[in-house]
Amino acid sequence: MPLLFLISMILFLIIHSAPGGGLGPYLQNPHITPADIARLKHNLGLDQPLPVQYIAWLGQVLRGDFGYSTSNSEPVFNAIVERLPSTFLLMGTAYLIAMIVGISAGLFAAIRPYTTWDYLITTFAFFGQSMPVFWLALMLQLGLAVHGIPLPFGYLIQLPSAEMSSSDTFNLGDRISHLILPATVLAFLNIALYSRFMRSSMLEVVRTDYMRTAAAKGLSFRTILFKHGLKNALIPIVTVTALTLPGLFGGAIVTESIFAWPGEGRLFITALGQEDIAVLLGFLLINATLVVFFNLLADVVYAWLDPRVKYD
Amino acid sequence: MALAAPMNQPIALDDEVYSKVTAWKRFRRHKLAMAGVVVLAIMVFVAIFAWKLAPFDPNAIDEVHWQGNPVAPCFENAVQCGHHILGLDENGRDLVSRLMFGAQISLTVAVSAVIMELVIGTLLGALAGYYGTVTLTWKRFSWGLVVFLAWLALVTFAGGAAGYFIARYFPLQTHGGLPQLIILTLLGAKIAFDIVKNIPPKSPRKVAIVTVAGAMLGYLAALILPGKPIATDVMIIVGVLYGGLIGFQFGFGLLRVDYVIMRVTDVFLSIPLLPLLLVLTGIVAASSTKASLSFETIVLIIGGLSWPGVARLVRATYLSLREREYAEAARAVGNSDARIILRHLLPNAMAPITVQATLDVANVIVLESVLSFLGFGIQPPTASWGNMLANAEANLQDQWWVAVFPGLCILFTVLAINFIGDGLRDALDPNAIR
Repeated sequence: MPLLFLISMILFLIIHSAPGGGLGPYLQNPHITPADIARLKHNLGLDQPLPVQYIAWLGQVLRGDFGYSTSNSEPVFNAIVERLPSTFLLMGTAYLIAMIVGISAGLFAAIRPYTTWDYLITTFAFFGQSMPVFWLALMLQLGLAVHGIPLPFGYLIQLPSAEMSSSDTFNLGDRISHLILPATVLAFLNIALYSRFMRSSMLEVVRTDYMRTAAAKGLSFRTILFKHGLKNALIPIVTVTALTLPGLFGGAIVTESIFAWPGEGRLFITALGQEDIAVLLGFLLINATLVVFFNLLADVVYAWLDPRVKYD
Repeated sequence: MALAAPMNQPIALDDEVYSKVTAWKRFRRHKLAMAGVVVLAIMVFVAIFAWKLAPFDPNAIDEVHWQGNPVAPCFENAVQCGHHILGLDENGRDLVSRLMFGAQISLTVAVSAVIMELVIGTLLGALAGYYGTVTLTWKRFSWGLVVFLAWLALVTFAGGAAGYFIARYFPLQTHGGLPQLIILTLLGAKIAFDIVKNIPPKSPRKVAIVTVAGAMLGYLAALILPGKPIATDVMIIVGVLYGGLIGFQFGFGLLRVDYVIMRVTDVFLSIPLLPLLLVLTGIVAASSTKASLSFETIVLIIGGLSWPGVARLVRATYLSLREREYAEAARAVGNSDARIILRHLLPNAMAPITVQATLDVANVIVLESVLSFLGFGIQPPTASWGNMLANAEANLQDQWWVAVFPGLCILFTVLAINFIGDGLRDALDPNAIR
């Protein structure tokens, strides 16, 4: 909690050091006179000293009110909640794919270390780590164009065209086809993360004494691996997962903006372009809170799963 | 609150097995890392001598060959390309020359930012680690006690005042719905967690159970008081109790330099890096009259925000190093703290710092490319690998080379550095499992 107050204070200070002071869009509008600006400033409380503004803002935030967007006057909280489902859809799919593929790949590599397969998977993981997301997206787009595969690039659904009469009907196939590319791109990066963690964690477990004991008892390779090994090797993975979970709400800025995906990340980029202070603050604060919360959760879950861990 | 708990434990450094010669031998065995060294060396060479190697001026438009139509690389269209080996970019500038000068910018940004991050992170981390759990002398203790009591009084008062203020002017209303429930639930969980973690015996299971119980209590509290503003009294009591708890923690914390430093570190680790970078660069871009982000600003912002990881690593290393015999010996001979920190401990902490720094260079290259791609990094016409890709999407269909080659440069450089970092980790830490 003290951490969160500190975070909110720092974020508030940073954002309010912006030149327009929250009125950026209005300042550039030639139809708005300096008198209007002064009145707006007064009405929004922007003429008061910064600490007073901060306390007022904090009070609002504690009541769940993040203020109003300066660009379209929508309550910030609503704007963020509105985008949650699409971000959830994208991030959830991507994480799910990444976890399934990444964990199996890491496991596959760990049970035959230093073989061709292992090197192949490790190298693949390095590629995933070293690639900028947006470039991967561009290359996918290029590859699809060259081979003439008509996968939709960008947007959540097919945009309604003139000849389509009912554009708002839910179409599962359409949804999935729009999901494939962004989810693949995001999953690719996370597969690398998961497979690397899984591999090193499994390798560590394989060397432990209890694994040797299990082998000495004459248990089969499968039993040892999946009953004794996997259970313990998955503990660090749980932590990693908990630490990536804030992304489920925060979205992915780069991926969403390049695929025109209407999620949280794109909300942020749009707000940044419009100097929409309230949205930026809300986004940052909510995300920082989530990070703190999930870190705490990771600690607790880790301690729960692994009795060897003691906190001082 | 311990973020990423395992990092807070001292790191075991086995310097008996470690020597520079064996480390180099181990590093050479790592084939991918050696390949990485070669690739990186080429990139660095090209970057340094870009002004000599580049066949054309990177910002000049080739008026002869550029008529608004795409000019493809020579291997696609040898007749038309006119010595532009990789063709012209979307503005008619030589792609190879831009790539070379882009290498210069991208690598310099990365290295400078990492140096900055290392200086800040190592300094703070070393201080925190070295003074981490200072043994109390009478003098320190009495001084600490004064500070502690002052803090206790101040924060209890502040907590009470804040509670009163919030209750008076911003009554929590539970019928407001979800946000209130969440806040109260989190508050309950956090209070329970804080209380229980200071009470022995410490079992993780107890912490977990009480945290959940606290969360449920908070939730119940939110439900039981439907529709009415929570009474001022309740808020004051919560404020005083909680303020006292914070004061207690902080008071004890101030006995330790490291508490303060690590809290600051926690703050920066909790705010997602990319959005924060974007906001800061956005603010700078909007406030500077030139309406452009200079190279130095980017370095300052990236370096100034990415040090907490290093600080945490260095702290963990120092926590373990300061218990060593040679540190003790150095103290016994009467060396000053500053000298011990810099001359005796720092060389021994270099192994993990080097590995981290190497991997961070790779990360910063990617980070810079993302910033530039979104338009918040290095500004055109100066070429960086990231901003060369900024317009690539629009021209993807007829000028694929504009999109492919800068990305390949990023990919191979970052890959090379990551391999080197991996090799270094193996070579410098014999106990690590790849």
